[in-house]
Amino acid sequence: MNENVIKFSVDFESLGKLGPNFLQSKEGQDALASGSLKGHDRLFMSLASSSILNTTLFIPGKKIIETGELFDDAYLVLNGEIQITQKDKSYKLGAGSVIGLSEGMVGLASKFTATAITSVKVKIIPFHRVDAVIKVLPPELRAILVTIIKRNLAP
Amino acid sequence: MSEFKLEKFLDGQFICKSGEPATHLYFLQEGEVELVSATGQVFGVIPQGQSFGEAAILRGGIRGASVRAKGDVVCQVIANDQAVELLTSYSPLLVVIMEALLLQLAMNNSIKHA
Repeated sequence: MNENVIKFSVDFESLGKLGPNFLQSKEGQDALASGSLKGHDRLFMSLASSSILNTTLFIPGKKIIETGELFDDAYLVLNGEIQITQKDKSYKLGAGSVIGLSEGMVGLASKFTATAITSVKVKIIPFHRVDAVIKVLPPELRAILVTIIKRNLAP
Repeated sequence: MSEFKLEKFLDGQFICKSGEPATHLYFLQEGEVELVSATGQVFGVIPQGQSFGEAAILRGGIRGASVRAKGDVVCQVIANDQAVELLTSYSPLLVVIMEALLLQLAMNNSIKHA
C-alpha cells in the first residue's frame, strides 16, 4: 500500500472560512440538504468548534499511539498529517480523522502506530470523561452508541 | 424514554428511503431490516437490538440508503432534534461522542474504499 496516500481528510481551510455559525444558517442548511456540504464536513465543523474539548499540538515525529498500547484519550485531528502503520499497511490521515475513539470505548489496544508527520493540532477526548457519561445512559441510547462502535471496529 | 415512539412496520414496507431528509433515528426493538441501494440491491441486514439512521443526528443530512422491513418490525423512533436534546440532557459531551463516532465511521469507510 502506498504510504504517501492520504486516505481521509476534510478541507479544513475551506470549512474554516465558512465561519462558526454557518451550520445554523439557512445557507448552511441548504448546503447540507443539497449534498454540497458532506456529512463528515458538518461533523468536523461541529466538533472543531466545540468548547468542551481541550486542544493540544503534536510535534513532527511524535508517536501518538503505538501498536499494542491502550488509549487514554481519543483524538480529533484539526489540522496536520498523521502516518498510520498497521502490519503491512501504511497510509496518511489528515484533518477530520478520529483516532482511537471506538477502540478506547471498548478497551481495545491499538492495532496501529500513529505518528505525527507535520505539526498536528488535535482535540482531546479523554476516556475518563467518556466512561463517566456512558455509565448513566439508558439501554436504548447505549445500544445506538454500541451499534456505531461495532461498525467502526468491523474488519 | 418517553422521547422514543413505538412504530410498527410490515414485511416489505420501506421505513426510510435513499435521498430523503434524515429526520429520525431508529432503534430496532423487534425483527430485522435490510439496507437497499438506489438500484434496488440489498447490501446489508441490521439485526434486532441495533440502531439505524444515526445520520439523523447530523441534522439536515440526507439518507444514503433505503431501509426496508424484513418481516414485521417494531422500532423505537426519535426525531433528530429530540435525539440531540436527549443526548444533551445527559451530557453535552454525549453529542460530541456521537458526532466523533460518526466521523470515525466516515473515516473508516473512506479508508476501506480508497
